[in-house]
Amino acid sequence: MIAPLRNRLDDPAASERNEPLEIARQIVAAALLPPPPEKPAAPRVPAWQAWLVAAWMAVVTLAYGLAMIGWWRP
Amino acid sequence: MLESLTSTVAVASIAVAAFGLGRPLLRGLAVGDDDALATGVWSVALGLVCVATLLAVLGLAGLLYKPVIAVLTLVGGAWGLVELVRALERQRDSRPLERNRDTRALERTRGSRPFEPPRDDGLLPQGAWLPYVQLGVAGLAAAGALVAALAPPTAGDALCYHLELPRTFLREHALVYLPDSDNCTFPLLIEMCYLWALALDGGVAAQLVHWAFGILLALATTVMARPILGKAWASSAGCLVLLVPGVTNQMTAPLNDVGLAAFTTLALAAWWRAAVDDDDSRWYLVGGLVLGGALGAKYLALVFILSLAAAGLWLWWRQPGRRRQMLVGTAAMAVIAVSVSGLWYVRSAWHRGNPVYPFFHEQLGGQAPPDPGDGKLALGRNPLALPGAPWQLTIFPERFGGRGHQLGALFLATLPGLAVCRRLRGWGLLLGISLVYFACWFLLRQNVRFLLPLVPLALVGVAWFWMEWHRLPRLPGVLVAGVTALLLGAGLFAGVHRACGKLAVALGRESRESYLLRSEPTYRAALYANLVLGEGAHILSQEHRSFYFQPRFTRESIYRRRTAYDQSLESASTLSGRLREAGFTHLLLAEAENDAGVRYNATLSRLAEADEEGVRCLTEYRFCDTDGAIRRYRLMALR
Repeated sequence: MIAPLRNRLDDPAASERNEPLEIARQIVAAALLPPPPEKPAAPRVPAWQAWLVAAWMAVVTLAYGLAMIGWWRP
Repeated sequence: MLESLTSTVAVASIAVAAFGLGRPLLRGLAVGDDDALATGVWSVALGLVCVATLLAVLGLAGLLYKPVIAVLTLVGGAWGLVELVRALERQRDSRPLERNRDTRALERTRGSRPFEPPRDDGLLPQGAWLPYVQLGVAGLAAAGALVAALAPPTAGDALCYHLELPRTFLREHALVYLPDSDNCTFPLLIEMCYLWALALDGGVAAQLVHWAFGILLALATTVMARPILGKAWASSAGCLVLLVPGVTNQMTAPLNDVGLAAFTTLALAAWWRAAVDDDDSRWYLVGGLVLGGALGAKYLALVFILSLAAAGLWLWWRQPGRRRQMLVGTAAMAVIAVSVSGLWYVRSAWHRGNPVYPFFHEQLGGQAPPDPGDGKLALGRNPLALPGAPWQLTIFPERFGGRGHQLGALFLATLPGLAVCRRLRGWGLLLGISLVYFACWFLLRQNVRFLLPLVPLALVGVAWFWMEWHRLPRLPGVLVAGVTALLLGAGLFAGVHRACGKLAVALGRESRESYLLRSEPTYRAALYANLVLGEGAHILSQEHRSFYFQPRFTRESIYRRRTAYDQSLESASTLSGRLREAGFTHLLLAEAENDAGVRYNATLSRLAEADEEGVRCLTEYRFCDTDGAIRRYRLMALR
């Protein structure tokens, strides 16, 4: 019985058709449907990968800085 | 101050007129009206393409008169003001319900159907302060570039042809063919915008037009990135454009690379909406118009089209159900682009026998081009050098066209970090387009400013890395944030630093003439020539910077290549008579007195010194450039 309500909520195009009816539908759906499940937290980047990225950025910045002030020439 | 104000008003008139002429076209196409930003960007871009093409057609018909251009500006400007007022009234009168509907429609169009944009599933939300900070920083960089752009133009390429050609076309009231100018048969759509500014004001207004193209590029990046990153982070990508040193550098000079990048970015944005988002087929038409603008701006757009075609083929292969629609849409886009830009290629083929002169001479024939020299391929064509190219061009940009045009270290530092980020839908396609373009760049011309069309695409990757930043553990995350802040600070410094030495002339505390006397090497000779030489004077010059000279001006290097006059002289003493017969009345000799920078071919100086009886020195001076180069100029009369 509540499947059409859920489908309607998932369909963004449906929300344009009749604004007051859509609001009413959302109130009914919120009353009948269970709350949405908690979104899982985004996985962390492994520490070694993160350090690799940070070290790369530091090396590039250092090399760039040295080249710009003229301490490193091709 | 009044001069700066006049130039600014002239450019504002051009922008409003472009908006006024582009807005009805956009409305007719019934796409692009997502919000005020998108409407403004698409309208101005379409208006600029249309007006610049119209000016080129007027030039071919010999109707390039200032009153005609003034009327065009007045009509477009008046209509633009009407459109602006209507847009403001509509925004004020719109009811909340309608606004909600608009927002929902926008949310829906933001979604790429084959590639869903990132939702808020664990991504870093933008804090309330971040949009203001990034807007403030980007605004500072743009303001620094604006101050520099308000000083009279002194960039070598600008004075040599980006401004010189439109000035000549305006003087002759037509797009004349100049046999001693290699650049006169290039695609010159951006230069038509400069012609518009020259007709209304002068060189500073033309320079401000390219500054405005930089702002258009930032906004175009925002529009292009929205379906991929969402609205908030797309704005971040747009703001970052103004922190790329090469972009702010170009915004201070009337060249054409930023203009090209703005058009290619918009072409990609329109193609994305049509081909990737499957939004509305009419986006192909919009894409065709702006792609025509890109093709009319520079040959380099052909390389961008090749990259886009590769991406289109990939989509075509992956989505068999949409093949017919994509084929028809792409064909329509191509036909419109060729129609808009075709006149430049036909003109080149007509005069040079090669539609893309001076490139592909071996395959297409036509006039022999000048020797490009080894400096165009600093890394050679060895494919093994390709993977190391990003490092080389970031750390040593002076090998690839100069430090001024550099992209900064943000891309090299950040983009490899995407390897630890989650997959962003759409990024693979952008990466593919970028790699094809980069490989072509490596094989054809290794100049760092030719990479500007890739900047908006790369910034999507940078913004995605920032969105994923919170997934890094605390300590490396802090280090990454610190390094990023340093790199952004360097970008801001590059933008603001350009204002140094130019604030006084921008504010009117120093006259433009006095600024030019201390900044532009040729200005003293030009002042003398303009005051003393008569109307029939014709100068043969070793120096290419000709914009400030009123008498006719021919570049000696190209004249020598075309006529080999130096080979046909019986003796050095016949130089004067030979050049007089060819119509020249004066010589401008230029020599570099040290190894610090510029170099000149010494043929004409050597011959003139040997023909003491035939030439008479009118004025002579030395000029010390900011890079330490000392130039010696001699203006000589032919007896």
